[in-house]
Amino acid sequence: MSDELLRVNGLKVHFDAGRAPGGGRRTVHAVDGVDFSVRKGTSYGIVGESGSGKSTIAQAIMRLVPITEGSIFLKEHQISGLEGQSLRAVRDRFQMVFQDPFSSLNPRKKARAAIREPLDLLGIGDEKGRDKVAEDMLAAVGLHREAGRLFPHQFSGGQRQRLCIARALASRPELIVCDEPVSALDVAIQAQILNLLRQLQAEMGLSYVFISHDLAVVQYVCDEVAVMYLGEFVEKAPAAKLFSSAMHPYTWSLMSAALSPEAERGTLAKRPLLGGEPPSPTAPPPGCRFAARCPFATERCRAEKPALRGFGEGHRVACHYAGELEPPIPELRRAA
Amino acid sequence: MTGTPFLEVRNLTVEMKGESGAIRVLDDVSLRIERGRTMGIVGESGCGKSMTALAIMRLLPPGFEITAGQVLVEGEDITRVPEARMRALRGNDISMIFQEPMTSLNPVFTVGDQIAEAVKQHQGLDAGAAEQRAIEMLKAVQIPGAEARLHAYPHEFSGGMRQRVMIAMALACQPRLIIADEPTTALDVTVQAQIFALMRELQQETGTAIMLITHDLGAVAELADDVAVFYAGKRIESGPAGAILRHAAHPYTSGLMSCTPRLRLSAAARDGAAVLREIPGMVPQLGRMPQGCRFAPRCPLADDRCRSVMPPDVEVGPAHAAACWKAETEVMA
Repeated sequence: MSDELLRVNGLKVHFDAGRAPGGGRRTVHAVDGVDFSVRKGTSYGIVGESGSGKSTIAQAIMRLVPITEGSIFLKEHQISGLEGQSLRAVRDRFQMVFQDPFSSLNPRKKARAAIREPLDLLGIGDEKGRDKVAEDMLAAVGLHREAGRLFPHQFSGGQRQRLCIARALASRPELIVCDEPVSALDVAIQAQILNLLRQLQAEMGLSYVFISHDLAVVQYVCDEVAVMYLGEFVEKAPAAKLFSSAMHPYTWSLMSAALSPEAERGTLAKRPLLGGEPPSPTAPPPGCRFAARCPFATERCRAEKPALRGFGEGHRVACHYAGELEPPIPELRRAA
Repeated sequence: MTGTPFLEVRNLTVEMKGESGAIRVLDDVSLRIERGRTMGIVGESGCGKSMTALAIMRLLPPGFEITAGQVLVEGEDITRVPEARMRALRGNDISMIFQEPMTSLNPVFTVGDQIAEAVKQHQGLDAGAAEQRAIEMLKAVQIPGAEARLHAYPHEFSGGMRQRVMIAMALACQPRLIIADEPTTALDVTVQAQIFALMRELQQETGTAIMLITHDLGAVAELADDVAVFYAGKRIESGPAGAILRHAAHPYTSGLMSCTPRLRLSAAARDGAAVLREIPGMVPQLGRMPQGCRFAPRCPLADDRCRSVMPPDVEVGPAHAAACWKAETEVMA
């Protein structure tokens, strides 16, 4: 596809976790073979629980963790293979916004210096030009142009996240990797930041990789969504497709656990809830990784690993019984 | 509502003594929690939700002080009782579950020891009986292999399991009120659902009242019978959960409702995403409260009166009150 901006092929990120009890080494399979691509001007959402490996994907794209296997292309640049100066030469094209706007800003740097830093490091423009960019970016994220004189502690949490977005925008990137950008924020501020991200995307044609544990937030921002469990994608589809006809039992369980202010009291108690917790990523089970918690699992699931299979319109599901199971969510049954 | 509620907070004011004088962090807050019911306390961070809980428990940080009002537990004003009486109340009659289970458990004692300590202290059980109670409690919160897990340390549990241990500790002395301060904020959604289901089940079995502090209106809809909404140190709306979630009277409450993203499944998922409404601006800083209604600078309905005179609590429906000049009385069917 010509409008493809980011392409991730067979990405694996494994970490060494020390000596195993019975001799040999233990390995954390944080990301265990994922493929996806992000089209220009769109948002690609990755949802999953903590420990599923979604943040590791973000860090791998940003080249903040070593890539064990696979490749990452930003347009024609294979960024997974670049090092040192050649990596720095394309750094301006992709930037990141982190979850915690408190720990991701240097408390001793004024806002303007924080936003300028990527430009200083990458040697983009001259002194005056960089200050101008910093001011423009402050304005673009809805802060006062003069706010550059202030230190991070003089901003609220929501304003700090705006600062982090301004810093990510400074080098005029095409891709911004957002790792849980609103989960540390109050709901009123969360809405402001989500709307800002959408507005900036529309104005600047940005693409996002958007990582979140919150399905409703992902639905609000993303065009395509992948659901991740224990290092692998279990389902991926265009957002409208996923939220209208999800097929993987894990996706259903995330949907079942979602709360709504309109719901009747005790709604969760009436829904089939997922028991237990994910198994350890140091020793992923041989078959389907979700089998131990899946209410539909059979012997086959525990023995044989399901591959992602296509169900049309870009909808892919890694479940032996995809399409044969009855969704436990009434809204999805009506749609089918 | 008639009779004495289990807990009644009356006109509670808490101040922080600073170099430049006293700053009010809670201002004239009133609420009542009935026996066996769940009260949701909602609002953005810094609005005084946790401060209210700490004031009730008399666990305010140094420099903070209750300067007016009462906290009545079955009619007894506990703002004035001696510390010894307070210690008997805490854990025994009122217990607390905190947001971050890792920092509220002691890493160098086994979870069994920590649960047993509470019952030894408060109920005078001997070591054997206390251990027995600890096993019962771990079973009640559905921790598999309770007998063996008794001897495990907090770091050997996952986040969700640790929060279950916290709930077991809170329930061990059969309290009549549990204050849960953002109990699931640090947990995954599927684990949150398990914890909420567990809390409901345990409430039905034990009849304890729950004060649930949360910023999530979805959690309120799931668990609460009654709701109090806080803004900038004031309780600005209170009433039955159904009434507040369906007919919010205060513009801040309806603002919170409309900025909460909803999961849209089925056909709704194919519609273009509706734009999330925002509440512009942010919560005012402590000590820099605007004149008049504190929400006025962010309120779409505010006029001159709102900006100059603090609105009183107005009855807008059965047991439903809002502190807003613009609040309209519910049309009751």
